[in-house]
Amino acid sequence: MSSFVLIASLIFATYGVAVIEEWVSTNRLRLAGPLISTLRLLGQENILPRKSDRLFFEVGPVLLLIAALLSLAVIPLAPGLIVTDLATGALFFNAALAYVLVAMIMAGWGPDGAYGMIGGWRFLGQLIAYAMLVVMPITTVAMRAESLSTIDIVNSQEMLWNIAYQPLGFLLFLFAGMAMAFVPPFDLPVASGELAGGVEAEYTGVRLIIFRLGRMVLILSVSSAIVVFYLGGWLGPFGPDWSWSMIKILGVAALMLSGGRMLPRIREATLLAWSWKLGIPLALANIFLVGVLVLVVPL
Amino acid sequence: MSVQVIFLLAFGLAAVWFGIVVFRTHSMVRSALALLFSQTAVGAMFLVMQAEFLGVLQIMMMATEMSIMAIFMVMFMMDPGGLGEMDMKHQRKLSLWAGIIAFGGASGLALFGDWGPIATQIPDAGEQVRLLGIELLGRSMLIFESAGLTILTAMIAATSIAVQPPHRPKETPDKSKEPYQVHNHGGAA
Amino acid sequence: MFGSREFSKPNLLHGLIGRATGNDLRVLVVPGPELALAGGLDLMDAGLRMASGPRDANVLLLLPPLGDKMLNAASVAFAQMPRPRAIVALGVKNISPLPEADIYGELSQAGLIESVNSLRLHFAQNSFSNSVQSFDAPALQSRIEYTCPMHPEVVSNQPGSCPKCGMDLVPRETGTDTGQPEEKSVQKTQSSSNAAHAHSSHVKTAPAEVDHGEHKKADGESGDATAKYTCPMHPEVVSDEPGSCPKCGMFLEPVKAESDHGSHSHGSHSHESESSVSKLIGLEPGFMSMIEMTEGTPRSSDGLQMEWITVPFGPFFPGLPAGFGLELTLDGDNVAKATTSSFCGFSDSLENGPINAGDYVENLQGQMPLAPLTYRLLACRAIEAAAEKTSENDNLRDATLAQERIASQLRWLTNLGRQLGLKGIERKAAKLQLLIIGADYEQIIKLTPELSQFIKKVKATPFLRRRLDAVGELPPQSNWDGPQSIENNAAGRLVARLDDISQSLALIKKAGAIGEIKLAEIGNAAGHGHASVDTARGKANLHVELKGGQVISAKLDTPSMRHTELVAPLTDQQELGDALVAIASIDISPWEMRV
Repeated sequence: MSSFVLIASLIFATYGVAVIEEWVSTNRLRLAGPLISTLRLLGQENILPRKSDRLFFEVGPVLLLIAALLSLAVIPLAPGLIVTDLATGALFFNAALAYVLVAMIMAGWGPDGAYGMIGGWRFLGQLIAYAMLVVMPITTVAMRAESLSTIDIVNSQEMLWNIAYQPLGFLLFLFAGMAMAFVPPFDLPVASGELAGGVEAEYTGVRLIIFRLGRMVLILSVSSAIVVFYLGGWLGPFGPDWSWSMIKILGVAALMLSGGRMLPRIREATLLAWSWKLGIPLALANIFLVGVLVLVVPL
Repeated sequence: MSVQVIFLLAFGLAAVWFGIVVFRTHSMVRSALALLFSQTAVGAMFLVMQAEFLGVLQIMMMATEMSIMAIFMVMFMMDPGGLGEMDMKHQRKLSLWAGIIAFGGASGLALFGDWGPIATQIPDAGEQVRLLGIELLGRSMLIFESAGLTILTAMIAATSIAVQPPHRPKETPDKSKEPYQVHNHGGAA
Repeated sequence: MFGSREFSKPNLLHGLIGRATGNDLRVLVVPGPELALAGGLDLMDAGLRMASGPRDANVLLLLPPLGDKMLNAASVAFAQMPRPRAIVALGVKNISPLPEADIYGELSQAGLIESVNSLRLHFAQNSFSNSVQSFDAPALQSRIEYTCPMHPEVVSNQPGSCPKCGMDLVPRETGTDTGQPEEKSVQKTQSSSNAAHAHSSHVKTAPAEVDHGEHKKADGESGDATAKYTCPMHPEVVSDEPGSCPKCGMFLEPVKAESDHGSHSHGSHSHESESSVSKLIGLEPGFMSMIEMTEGTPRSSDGLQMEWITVPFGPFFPGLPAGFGLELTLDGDNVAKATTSSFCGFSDSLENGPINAGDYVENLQGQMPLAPLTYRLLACRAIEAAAEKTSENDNLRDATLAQERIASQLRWLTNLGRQLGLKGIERKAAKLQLLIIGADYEQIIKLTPELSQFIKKVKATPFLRRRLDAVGELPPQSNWDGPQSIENNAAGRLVARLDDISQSLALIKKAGAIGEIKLAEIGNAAGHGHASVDTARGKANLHVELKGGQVISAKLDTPSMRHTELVAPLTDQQELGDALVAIASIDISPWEMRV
């Protein structure tokens, strides 16, 4: 029963993210939107570009989806509502999402299109910017929980959510998470205005469905990680645990997707400069600060 | 044969297979990513052997490292699309001998090395993480800290070499820039 | 059916998919979304979403005016669009080489909405069909020919065996370098959204797609005829085809006489490493060293040696003015070289001999769909100057000009919003533009507060100024006469354009009305005349020569013609994204460029 609830809620949440995504990008709310788009793509011709690296072209989107799904495996929606509670869950989340990069490089390289190729490699540059800002805030979260298990991390926030306990870490992780899920203004690899779709540019039909689905699951996964690490996961005053998880996750996804639309797409150079010159010192300071807090006021 | 052994064998074979692909393929990017998946398979072997932290760490680190290697290979080796049909094997005699010696050494070490008493009880994953942390801040601290510092130094040195000082004149005259250069420096004598 | 997918027996699911397709329309506008805006069409309102490229589109929307070059490019884009797809032509009839449009409509918002409704029906019924025709853009056509792997001089139209050695002939596409598979990443062009470029003959990046009227060898630039393959271990083994060495089975590596510049550099490395490395003592031939390999290849000013590729952006690139052909040679993701072209340029050569002054005015207006009244005014002024007449309602004419300037700046803002991913600005600027173009004096005055508020909002957009600060610095003494800015960068020009909107509004208010632009009666006047007009992009100049009331020669000088020269210095060594923003910041109109 619980696995059915888990799968159903993950599908529902993914669909929700897709609805929000369409809403913020077209300014129109269409509940059936993602369904219609999927149907359209299902009927679309599956074009294989000439001279493509067929293996990479096919594997890229699938790997993106698999990596995103694997990272979801360690996200608890409620106690017991988790695919697998790994003792190294927080690290595993990051390890799985490292393969998003591999998928993007493969998908960008495969079709043999300049836009896709540049998009794929751009994402590598982006990873160099955000990678440390994902790992270092996770470290402080784990420091407080004294565990890498995501269940333990949520339980450690019983008294006070991490967003209040380590707000700096939250901001850094939100920023890095948005870059990791390449939502605007960090959508450098799939930018329409700069690369005519970038990595997505050559994909059509079913392959594009898989790519987009992978991306939606990725956004869902990142927003659930933010909820688990900083917003107390399933913790809520009343009602069933999983509903709190869902509300928070969709809320964070909406925030990530809409917030970025107000800002111009970031420059690659600015992103790297800010991450390394500002982000990493702040993350180090955060580790120090939380280290002191954990020793002095263990909540 | 337990399920564990079967999986270990499967991932081991996958690691070796991807290792072979590294040299068999004719595309730079495929070669680099084959190396990545070879390393990922090794990480999966760690997982099968219930060394969870090591496995996850290996899987995570390799994705980034090999991708970075791939971009450097592509940037400098110029084999876009992998249709250049490049040969990945070079200095065959030397590498053959190096490979044989390294393989012999490694298998010798594996067979005849003193591996200490066989552990009967595997600590659970959480405990492993704790023990690893204690190890890193205990006996192995000096080694890891000096290794880390060395890498940091190398990184800073490499970066400072790579960065071109902004005001130093370029060594090679660049034709494409000429239209914007100022020519009459001295003026008439 | 050129747009349907083949299915012998469409079933219920196909009907559902067809309906879904009709409700999820992604449109590629030809010549471009600016033309839709300038023509008063609200695509969003009609339920159309802008596609980011041909692969993303299922509707090709054609709007007038369409030149041959544009139609050719459109046919390439149509060939790239995945089925099911449809063509909608508003206000245009002859669209060859494209196949017949699925829906014709009139050029108005009502016509657009009506067309979209029939389009929905069309997709619901015709998404799948059992009689499917394939469409090959003439610009893309290539022929398969057969050649002997050992004797490249043997070429046949049919498969068979070589008369010299009896080997089986292998197929290849004409124009493709069999020896240059590395062309590949450049070939991207074709598959990518802007392949439309591929047909223009100077682009040699997509050989498989280039029009093959001329035989390969006639193409002086392709030094690939000399491309040979050799074994890294056995230099005596030389072949014209890639393959493996008969002695050791190793892959043959390409050797080429000389590396050519940039676009071809993919392949050029190997021979370099080959020839120079073998001179080094102690290294086996074929040993790869990065230094050797990159010797002699073009080197950018940062000193880092990287692979160069040539990528076309345009004519339908979402972040650039539609119809503008930009070709960037990229060194990594830095721009090493930029060349520009226009797919919809004007011609002021009066091929059909002298024409009536009145017709000339109409003609020039028609050639400039993005600033019709501005150029109408320019033509009128120049002719009046030649006839030594003075027009009486200069103030009102200036107000008309100001109105068009506002519309032009708003279209520029729409493009900027699209390029930078600022959906809010993109939508709002497009909406205001639609309100401005058809508006009379009272309506414009009524719109003033909304416009001022929008200007304030754009100026206050977080990080926008910062984003634009670092890009688009013009070299000193460059020939720039667009909106004058305090800061010499893209941010400065954004502010200057916003201020231009405010000033134009003030000008209209002062004029008190908007005048019609009519050519003064000139009779049979003769003489030379010169006039200039401040367009939204800079000063446009026109020289005309009149004789007997007819224009016998004209010379037009537009701001975009001068500003395209700034593209190279602006983009030199800039990161790709920055380069595109810098180009957008100088607002080039391809309509104002010569063909």
